[in-house]
Amino acid sequence: MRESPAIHVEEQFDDLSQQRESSSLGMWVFLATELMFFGGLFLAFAVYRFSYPKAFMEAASHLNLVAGSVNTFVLLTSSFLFSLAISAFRDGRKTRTLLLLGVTLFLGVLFLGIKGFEYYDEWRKGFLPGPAFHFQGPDYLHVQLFFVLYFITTGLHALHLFIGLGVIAVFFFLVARSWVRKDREVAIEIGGLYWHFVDFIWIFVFPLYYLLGGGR
Amino acid sequence: MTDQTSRRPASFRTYLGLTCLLGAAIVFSRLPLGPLRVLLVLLASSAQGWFMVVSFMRVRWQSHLIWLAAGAGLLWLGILFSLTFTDYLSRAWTW
Repeated sequence: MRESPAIHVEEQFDDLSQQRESSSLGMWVFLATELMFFGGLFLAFAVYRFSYPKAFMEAASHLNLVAGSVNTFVLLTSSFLFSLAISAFRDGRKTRTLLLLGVTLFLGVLFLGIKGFEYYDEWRKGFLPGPAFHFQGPDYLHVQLFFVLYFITTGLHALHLFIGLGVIAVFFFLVARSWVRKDREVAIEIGGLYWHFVDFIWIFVFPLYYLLGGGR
Repeated sequence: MTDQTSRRPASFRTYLGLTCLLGAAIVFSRLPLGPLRVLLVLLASSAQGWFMVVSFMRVRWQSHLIWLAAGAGLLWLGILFSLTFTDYLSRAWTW
C-alpha cells in the first residue's frame, strides 16, 4: 500500500478526525434512509402475517430452510472477514487485505448463487406470483401475497448485495494496484458499513420469512 | 475510548456469538413453544442485529452525532410499527 508523505485534509475540515467523521456521518444518514426503506417492507409483511397467519405459515413452509440458514451463515462470515480486511488494510498488510477481500467477494457471490438456486426451485414449483402461480389450497390469494412480498424483499436485498459486491471489487482492484493510500482507510471503512448493513437487513429477512413458518 | 480501541477489528468471539444466535433462532423456530416461539426467534435475531451494529459497524465507538443518525432511523421505524399496530391490535375491541 502506498504511504502518503503527508495526510491530506480537505480545506473545509479542521482536521483529519473531523474529515473522517463527516464521511462516516454521511454513510450513517444514508443507512438510516435505507432502514426506513426496508422498514416499510417489514411492516407490510408484519401486517399481512398478522391478518392471514395460517396462509403465511403455510406459504413459508415451502421455502428452503437449509438454503436460507446456509446463506445467513455465509453473510455473517463475510461480514466478519470484511472487518478483518479493514484492519489488515490499516496495518498496511496488502496480501492479507487482498485475500480477505477476495474471500468476502466469493462469499457474496456464493450467497447470490444459493439465492438464485432457491428462486429457480420456487419458480419450478409454481410459486412465482403472476399468471404462472400454482398453489392448491383455500388460501390461494394470501399465499400468493406472501410470495409477492418474499420476492420483492429478497430481490431488493439481493440488489443491494450486488451493489456491495461492486464496491468490494473496486476496493480489491485499487488495493491490488496500490492505487489507494493508507490514509484513505475511511473509504474502505464506509464500504464495510454498507456491507454490514446488507447483512443486518438479512438478519431480519431470514427469521421473518423462513423461520416463522413451518420450514423444510 | 482511545483511538486504538475504536480501531480494533470485530472479534472472533463476536462472530462466534452471532453464529450461536443464528443456531438458537433456528432451534427455537422448530420447537413447539406456541406464541413464545415467535418471541424467542425474534429476540435471538434482534440480538444478532444488535451485535452486528454495535460490534461490526462499530457504532459503540462512534461520535454522538452518528448515534443520533442511527437512532433517528430506529426511532422512525419504531413510530411506523407502533402506530400501525396500535390500529391493528385495537380493531377487535368493543366498547
